[in-house]
Amino acid sequence: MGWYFKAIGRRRIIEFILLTVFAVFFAGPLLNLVVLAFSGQWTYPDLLPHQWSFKWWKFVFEQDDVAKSIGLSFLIATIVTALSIVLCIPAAYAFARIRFPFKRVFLFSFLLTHAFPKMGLYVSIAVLFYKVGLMNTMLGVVLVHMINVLMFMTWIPTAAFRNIQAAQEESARDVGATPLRVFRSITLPMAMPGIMVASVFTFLNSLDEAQGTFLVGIPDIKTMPIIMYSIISDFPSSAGAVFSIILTAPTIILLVAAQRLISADVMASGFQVK
Amino acid sequence: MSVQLAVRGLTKRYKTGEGVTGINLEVNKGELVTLLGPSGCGKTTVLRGIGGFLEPDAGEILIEGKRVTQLPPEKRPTSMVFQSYNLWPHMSVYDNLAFGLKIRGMPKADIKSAVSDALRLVRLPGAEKKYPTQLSGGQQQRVALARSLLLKPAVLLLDEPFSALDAKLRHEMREELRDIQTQKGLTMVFVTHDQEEALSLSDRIIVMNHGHIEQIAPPQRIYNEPETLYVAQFIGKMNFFGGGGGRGAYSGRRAVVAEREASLGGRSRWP
Ligand SMILES: Nc1ncnc2c1ncn2[C@@H]1O[C@H](COP(=O)(O)OP(=O)(O)OP(=O)(O)O)[C@@H](O)[C@H]1O
Ligand SMILES: [Mg+2]
Repeated sequence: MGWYFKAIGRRRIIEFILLTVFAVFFAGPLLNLVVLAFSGQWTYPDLLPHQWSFKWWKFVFEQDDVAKSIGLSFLIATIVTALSIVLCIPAAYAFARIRFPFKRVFLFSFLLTHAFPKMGLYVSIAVLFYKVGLMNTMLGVVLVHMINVLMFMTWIPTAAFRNIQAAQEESARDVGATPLRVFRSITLPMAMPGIMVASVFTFLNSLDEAQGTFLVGIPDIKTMPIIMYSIISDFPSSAGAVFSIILTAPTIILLVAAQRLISADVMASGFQVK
Repeated sequence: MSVQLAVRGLTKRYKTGEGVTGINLEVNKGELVTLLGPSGCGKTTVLRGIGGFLEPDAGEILIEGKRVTQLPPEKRPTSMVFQSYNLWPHMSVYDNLAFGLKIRGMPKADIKSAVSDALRLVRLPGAEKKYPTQLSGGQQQRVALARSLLLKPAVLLLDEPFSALDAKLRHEMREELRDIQTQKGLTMVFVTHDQEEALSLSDRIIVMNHGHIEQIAPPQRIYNEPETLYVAQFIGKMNFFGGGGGRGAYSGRRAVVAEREASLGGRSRWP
């Protein structure tokens, strides 16, 4: 045995151990979560439950608010994503192409929304919303979610637009495309990976948002994470496990779908300020 | 011979104060004219003015006798090959080439045959399905050239299209371009800062310096009878630095240049 370890070298062994610890640390809780979600009866010293069942899945889906909250969450996430695209993509294009005074200040002001503790920001927003009657409304929640994503929804596409060379747009004009056609056929498709990445982030961020939603949407706007709190506190942990799988599933599906688009490149260039 | 392109009193000053002033030039049908000058002398500025990519402060541009000064690039009968970043990376070579033809409403079958003809002309037959990133720099520039040729422009504009290529490939591309140009009777304005390229390629050379034109003449005349000291020096430098050779050869060439410059002194307009 000794010769074997010598042959593969100390470094490889350390790497292997670190990797194992890492995997257990990350995959362990997830695995536990999945097992928990499908367990019927599971008593302490056993490694696996001695009864598997779907009963907690059934239970969770029989809760009225749950099905409703899933629908609501996806609706809100879709609206938030669509609105942010409409708002931020033109802004990103302007930041990338047009010179105007205080451009940097504008670009950095988006960073500001991430510079303070979130709760402080939400409370001041809530105060404002209270005055204009946006509390406990869908619009209020959508606005809160949008404030969250403003930064990367602008910065990442800005970088994507900036990476398009002037000559690439000009040669399209040269072969006969009008400015509008150039934007549609050249600029937008070339920036699409960056826009997609930002949109996926926005969608997931909205699905996941709890603090702001809780503060502004209470008591009627109950999204998945909000329901999650009450399920965890009111029912056995198996129900919570089922629900967190439901909550995580869209994230994983979307990330896998977007995986091809999310290159380190796009990410890195999104956070440069030129 | 009819005048295909005329530039009259073109002036463009950037906010920095740099640019070009009082550019007058005429290019005949089927002629290949080069704009030659050092970096920053305004060659690209003139070319972009002709192509419609900048708004001149003053002056007129006429193509086939028609004034195009106010027209945007997409409405001008010109086509430009840029120094780099010509192609659209999200489109295949076929789509790159077909884009302009689609806009013109050409039927699909015609586009298909036109594209494959154009690719054959630039010696890249069958490259339709490739993507620009799968091509070498020289191949990309050839595709860009093919795209411009497909549109049958009244004037073809080339802005140092081969400057990113190595010497051997540049040489080959130059020959190919010259062949295609004579074969198709194209009118071309070719920008370069390489004296040798200009001398070997052009029907006439326009030597530029610091935003204005120094001389317009055929290569032989530019070489033998430079009108200004600047032209003499700019063309002369080629002899000075051109070619490797041993120590003996170098000093020999140097002597020849010195002699030539001495004889120029009398002919030059400059005192
Ligand atoms: N958009 C611009 N804004 C301000 N100044 C510019 C702009 N474009 C060019 N210039 C300046 O105008 C001058 C002429 O530029 P131009 O690009 O025409 O030179 P060039 O002869 O093509 O040089 P090169 O051989 O390096 O390409 C340069 O001094 C340049 O700095
Ligand atoms: Mg130039």
